[in-house]
Amino acid sequence: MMEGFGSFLGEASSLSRHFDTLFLALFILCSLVTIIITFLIIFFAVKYRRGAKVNRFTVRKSTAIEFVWTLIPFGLFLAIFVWAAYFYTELLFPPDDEMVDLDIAVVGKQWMWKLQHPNGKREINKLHVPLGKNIRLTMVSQDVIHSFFIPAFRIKHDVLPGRYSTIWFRPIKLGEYHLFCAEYCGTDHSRMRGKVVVMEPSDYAQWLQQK
Amino acid sequence: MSANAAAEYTSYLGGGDTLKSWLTTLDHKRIAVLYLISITLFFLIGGVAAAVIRLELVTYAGDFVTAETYNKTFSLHGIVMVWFFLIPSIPATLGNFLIPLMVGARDLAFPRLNLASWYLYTVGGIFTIGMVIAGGVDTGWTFYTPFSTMFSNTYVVAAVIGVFIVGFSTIFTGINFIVTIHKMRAPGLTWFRLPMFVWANYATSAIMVLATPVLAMTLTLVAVERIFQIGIFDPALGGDPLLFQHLFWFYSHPAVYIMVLPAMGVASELIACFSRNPIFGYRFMAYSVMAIAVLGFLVWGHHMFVSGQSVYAGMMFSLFSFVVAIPSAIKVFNWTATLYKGSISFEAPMLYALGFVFLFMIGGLTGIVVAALALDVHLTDTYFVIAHFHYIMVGGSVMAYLGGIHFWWPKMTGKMYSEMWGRVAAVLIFVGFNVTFFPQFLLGYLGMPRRYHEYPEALEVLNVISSGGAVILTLGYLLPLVYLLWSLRYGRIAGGNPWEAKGLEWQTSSPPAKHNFKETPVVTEEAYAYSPYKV
Ligand code: HEM
Ligand SMILES: [Cu+2]
Ligand SMILES: [Cu+2]
Repeated sequence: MMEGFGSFLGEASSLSRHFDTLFLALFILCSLVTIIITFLIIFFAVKYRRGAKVNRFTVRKSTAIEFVWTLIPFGLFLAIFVWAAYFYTELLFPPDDEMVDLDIAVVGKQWMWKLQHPNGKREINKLHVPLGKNIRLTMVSQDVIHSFFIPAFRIKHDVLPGRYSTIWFRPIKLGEYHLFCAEYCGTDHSRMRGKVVVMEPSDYAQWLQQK
Repeated sequence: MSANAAAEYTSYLGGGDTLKSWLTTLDHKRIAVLYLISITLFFLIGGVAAAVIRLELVTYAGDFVTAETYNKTFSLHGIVMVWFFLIPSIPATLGNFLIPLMVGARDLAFPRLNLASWYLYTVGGIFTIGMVIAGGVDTGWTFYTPFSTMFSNTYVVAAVIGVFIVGFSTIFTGINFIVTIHKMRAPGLTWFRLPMFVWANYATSAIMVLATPVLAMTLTLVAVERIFQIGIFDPALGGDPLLFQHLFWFYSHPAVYIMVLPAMGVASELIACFSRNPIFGYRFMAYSVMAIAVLGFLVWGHHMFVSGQSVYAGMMFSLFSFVVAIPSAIKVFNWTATLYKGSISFEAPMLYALGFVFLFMIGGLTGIVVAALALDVHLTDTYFVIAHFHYIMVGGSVMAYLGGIHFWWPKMTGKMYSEMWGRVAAVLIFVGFNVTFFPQFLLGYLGMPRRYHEYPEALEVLNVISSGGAVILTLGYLLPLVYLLWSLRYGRIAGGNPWEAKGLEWQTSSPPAKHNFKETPVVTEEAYAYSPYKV
């Protein structure tokens, strides 16, 4: 299977776009800081190189400037903190029961994902889901800690033994996406991979009935 | 008396060069050299493991080594690099050598404890090598439960004992530095006249002494559960698997500051010297290292945003992580401002120092990216995190460590290394580092999980670039090994103060006499009193 990495990641859940916007905002902020500092370092290094004939007289006062260059960036970054924290609750608090269209049970074990649909249909390392529906996963592990990760949906959560974790997503694009185990879980951790298949709801209903 | 002493001057290297005299030495400078040799060996071991990892990842299929070997290799890499190289690196070599000199003392407060610390390091190291020969460990350096306690079939207990032992060598070093800095400063050397390197090691020592016991206790609990099947972490036995992560990161986040604070200290010394300027905002710089040491204890939960800890706890840890970024940012701004109106020259140590500032800045900014909750959900446990902490620890700390080694090499050995080769190596390392690790940010963003032996084919190109960069980086790291050793024999005689630097360590001969100073120096000026000498 060949795919370029442009299309590798994909923006396939209702949350992916939010993620990318937030990421972009922070990326711009960080790039600004990087560019300014790098520019200043190079500029000073050239201008004040040893031997250059420049005025080096200076009165050094630092207190005021320390506060300025600390507090202004901090304020900007704090806005990112709030944005990211708000969005985190959206990722990690599943919608209320009445908003959930589909409940899937996920069991991780060394080294496979076992998934079960509401009508009892089971699959391994492959998860079929209907497009545009709110899907809630209730996950548990039979042995060590695993982590359920679908990059295209920007969603990840650890799957623990002896404790249920829930996450949710709403797929917005048909297609097949990678499912990874992201928490190191032993020998075949990197083979604990699978596919998420997003289908038209009618196809999904049909698929659900197949034996 | 003092004329007499001058007549009998012997360098700390001279006289008693039997193996026994080295292995029983109580001289902080000789112990520093012992450490230098041992951590270099471990750096090579960790480096070989890294090479195996990068070779395996050249192709997307797991075809170079088996999955089991791969897992043991990255575990070895992590354990060795963190506990046997980075944590001791700057404090135990440069710190050991320089702190008594910088405060104008004859030795550290407890010379025997200092030697004991090196022996503990060595015993822990031999234990770890033995563990690898016996078959290795496959838990990663993080030892997550219940995998490490109940499921792994490898030598977990031996690995844990090795780390446990080396932990005590860290604690001993920390105690020694704290007491020395408090009690043995030369007359006139007030707290706010101390070089930043001393401040940084002081802050580091505080973390070493406070955090390392928690690691010891946590690893003991891992061994207890594994050996006696007492339910501490494994829910099947009634334990709590997240408890381990809380305890582990309560040590390990502060520990990352053990790895980077001394590097900040080194960078400050180098930048001040080669720009002939006092460090800008000296007091802010001193407060910043102390603030980092304290705040560093409040952010451990940012390693656990998707672990199942409470969402609200996640918010607190995220907020504190943003706050701890403030003192780090202050450091970067002040280093930059130190260049302003300086008289800047670009000897190899300065190249390392400027490289450090740039790479540390990238590491710090991407730290903010992973500290932003919703972003971390996607990025955690991917190559993005690998890139982030390698920018800090390899780009930052190792770069500063090498800069420091070059800067103080003339002091330690009395010889100059080849300036041209020094610069070549610095540039190679900077380029190789970026080619190796920058693609990993992209890999992580695309979702490539860390600790993967095989991966989807589409990610191969970026991995090949990264492995290619590692070749350049390896060359860069091997070069200093060659020309520094070469300089021991053929290097120019350095003289007491080849850089015309400030600081008490430059007032004594190179290499320093056994007892450091002929007579106790008296300090009458602030640190970095460079300005009048500017050209
Ligand atoms: C500028 C301030 C910093 C911030 C805000 C920050 C933030 C973070 C966060 C949030 C993580 C967790 C990422 C994840 O699990 O997905 C992380 C990982 C890590 N950071 Fe930092 N960091 C900073 C500086 C440092 C420094 C100075 C070091 C070391 C010298 C460091 C070393 C590490 C390491 C080793 C990990 C990975 C641990 C692992 O998963 O194995 N960080 N950092
Ligand atoms: Cu798994
Ligand atoms: Cu796994």
